[in-house]
Amino acid sequence: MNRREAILASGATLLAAPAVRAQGATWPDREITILVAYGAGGSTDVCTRALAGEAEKILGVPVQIVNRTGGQGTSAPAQVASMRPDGHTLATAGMAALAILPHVLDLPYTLDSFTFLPGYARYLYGIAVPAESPIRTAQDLIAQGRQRRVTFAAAGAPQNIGMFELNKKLNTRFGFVPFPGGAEAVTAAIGRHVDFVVQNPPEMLPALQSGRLRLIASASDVRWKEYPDVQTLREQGVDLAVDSVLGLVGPKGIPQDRLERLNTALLQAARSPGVGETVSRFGMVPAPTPATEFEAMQRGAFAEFGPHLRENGLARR
Amino acid sequence: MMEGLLQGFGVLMTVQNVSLCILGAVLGTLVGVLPGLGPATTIALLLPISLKLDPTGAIILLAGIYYGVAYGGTITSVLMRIPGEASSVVTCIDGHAMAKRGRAGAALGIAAIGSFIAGTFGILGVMLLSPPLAEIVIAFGPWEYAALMMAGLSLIAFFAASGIAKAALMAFLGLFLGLVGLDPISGTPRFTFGVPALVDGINIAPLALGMFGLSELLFLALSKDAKPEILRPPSTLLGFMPNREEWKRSAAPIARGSVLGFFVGLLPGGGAVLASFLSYAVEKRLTRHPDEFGRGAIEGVAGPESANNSGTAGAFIPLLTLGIPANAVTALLLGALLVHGVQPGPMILERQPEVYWGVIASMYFGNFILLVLNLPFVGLFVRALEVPRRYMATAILLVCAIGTWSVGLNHFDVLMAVLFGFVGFALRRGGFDLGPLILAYVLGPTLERSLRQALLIADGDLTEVVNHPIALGFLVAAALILLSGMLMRSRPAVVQDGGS
Repeated sequence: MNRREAILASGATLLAAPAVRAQGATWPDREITILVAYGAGGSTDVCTRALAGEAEKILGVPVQIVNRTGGQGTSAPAQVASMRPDGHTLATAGMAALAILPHVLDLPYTLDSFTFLPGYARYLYGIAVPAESPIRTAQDLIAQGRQRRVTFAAAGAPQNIGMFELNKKLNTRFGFVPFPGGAEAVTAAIGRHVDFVVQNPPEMLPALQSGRLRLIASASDVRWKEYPDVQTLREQGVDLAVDSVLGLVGPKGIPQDRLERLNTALLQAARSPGVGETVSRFGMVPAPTPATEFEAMQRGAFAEFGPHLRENGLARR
Repeated sequence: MMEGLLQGFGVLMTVQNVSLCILGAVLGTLVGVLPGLGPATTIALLLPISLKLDPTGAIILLAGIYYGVAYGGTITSVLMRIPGEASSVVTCIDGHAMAKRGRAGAALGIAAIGSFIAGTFGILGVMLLSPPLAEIVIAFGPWEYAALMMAGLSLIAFFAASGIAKAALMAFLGLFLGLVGLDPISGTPRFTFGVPALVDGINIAPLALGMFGLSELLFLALSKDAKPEILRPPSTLLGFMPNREEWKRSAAPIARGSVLGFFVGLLPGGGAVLASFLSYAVEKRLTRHPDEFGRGAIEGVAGPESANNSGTAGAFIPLLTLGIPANAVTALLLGALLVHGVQPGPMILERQPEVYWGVIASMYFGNFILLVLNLPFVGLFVRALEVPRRYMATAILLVCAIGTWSVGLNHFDVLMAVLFGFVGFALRRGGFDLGPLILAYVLGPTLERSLRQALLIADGDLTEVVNHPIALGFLVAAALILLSGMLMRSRPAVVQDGGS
């Protein structure tokens, strides 16, 4: 509880209220809108809706969701970057929109266009091969990749960048074949049109459960809860963890008191069991992340990914 | 099987589910009638509401919208030459020509009945053939898709009423329009001229509504004849219906369209649009009245309208049995299933049979509802043609503007539609067919992406295609289609539709 809230609570409400209102302590006084960068029904959308539902209870005003899709998930942050920094309009943004696509697309924003807010969910990645494939472990995959060109399907960043990193570190020849969506990437692997696929659980689970694909490693820091016996890449001696945290951003220059209020409320919402449960159900890992940490994460990744993207001809310059 | 279906009808026959099915079908028809506002947008809008329902109810509602759209899309195509949906673009050609001859009722009637037959056939196919057909979908990789799209593009030979050179020119223009947006491999923008609204490409709505709808408006405005062309509309429902001759000519196209549409609809990417064009080409090749195509041949309505409906059903196979969405709409349905904790895939029959069979039963019921819903209104719709032209023109303008705007809530799209209206008018005046343009625009992006994926997989080696027999088969088919199209062209007296 900050000082102003303490004053309110102490019973000085009547006298203090007008003065305090001017400074924004009763903020928010109207609804908050979150622009979701992906379509309704997807994991980003559903997890953000769960977060909004909790935040609504804490902030005492409606928190509404508007799906602002397009530009590979950059339209929502781009729109928010140009809005009034009153804290009433926020957008979802992850690794792709903040750390990768600014290298690739000509975007109207940079990382400095935003006020960073908390993160709440971590995408989970896995590497799977067709059931008939001789590759059974991460080490098999590396060995194959050193002998010949091994193709993989993925919907895009950041999974492909992880594989590019391996190519550089381990002298493998993993060839990236992009697909417009995770489901298409998985289908290509089922049909053995590519050697393996790197995607998220929601798209991969049906194929894994029916035995058409075999999970050989979690490409994240943690194992998949559905496949507790399958080790992560690191556990198998391959130094890579594809990491992407989903969080919120607002326009640059949200007043400090409002920012504190948002940070506290959103982090509290991210920690609630309801949000955690929804996030897990959608194949993500609950990851309540304070705003400063979320910002550091994205800035670090932005600096790190630039060279990889340029070397593979995917960056603008 | 029968047990399952009975279980499905058991699930369906609650007050809630039956009303949801009817609601979905009605909403779908309305959305289909309104150009621009497509099934994907509608389902995305309704998804949050559907979260409050149980999984079966939600899917019944959303699926109802999906197949309802395939019915509704015909109406504006026939009456105003505005394609309600991309899959109704071909219907504009002969459907509207029929309306001008005073046979709008027959066109709408045969479309509704053909849709019903094809839809029912498609559902039977889903029920009986799901597992084996799912394997075909998996066998299709980048090489196969690239070749299939080439075969699809070769269909322009059949739309080349104005000459193969003009048709090819239009196809190139369509391919070019499809290139605008993000490069599918590197993700860098191209041909966007720094306009943010172009980053996601040119939407089908401004293109189709402008080229077909607004250009038609310009023709209307220029024509001196102010009298409506429809003479005395029949006063009984039966009078609106196709006559004996029209029935006879439609039976085979409906059958062929149903089968074709089902198999093409199975495949992710192509779907209902390709199915309708393919059916049109087939009918044009097989008909005994080739001179009537473009001037109101009922085969050109019956075939494509059946094909796009059975294609809708076909798309459910990869969705339900593999969890693979075949298009944007089934991708949303997949999302809806996941939200409700239903995991589509081979296990769905064992784990959640009530959902699977509930959806199948609701599709039978929904198709029936759509037929009952559509037929009686045919007469009402046809009367819209009696509206004086100045009002009709205003209505077309309004429908096109709202339709275009509703897609992305973006005024830039509306401006583009106006631009395409003038372009389409000029092209039609110059004797160009717009069919090849739309076909190439729809297939081009998939062709490009698949070909480039294939080359990435083969490390740039184009000869790798010889190891893909299905792809080779499509390429041979493409060559044959082109050849036979050209042979047909050497016959005289093929009339093109431009110029009203």
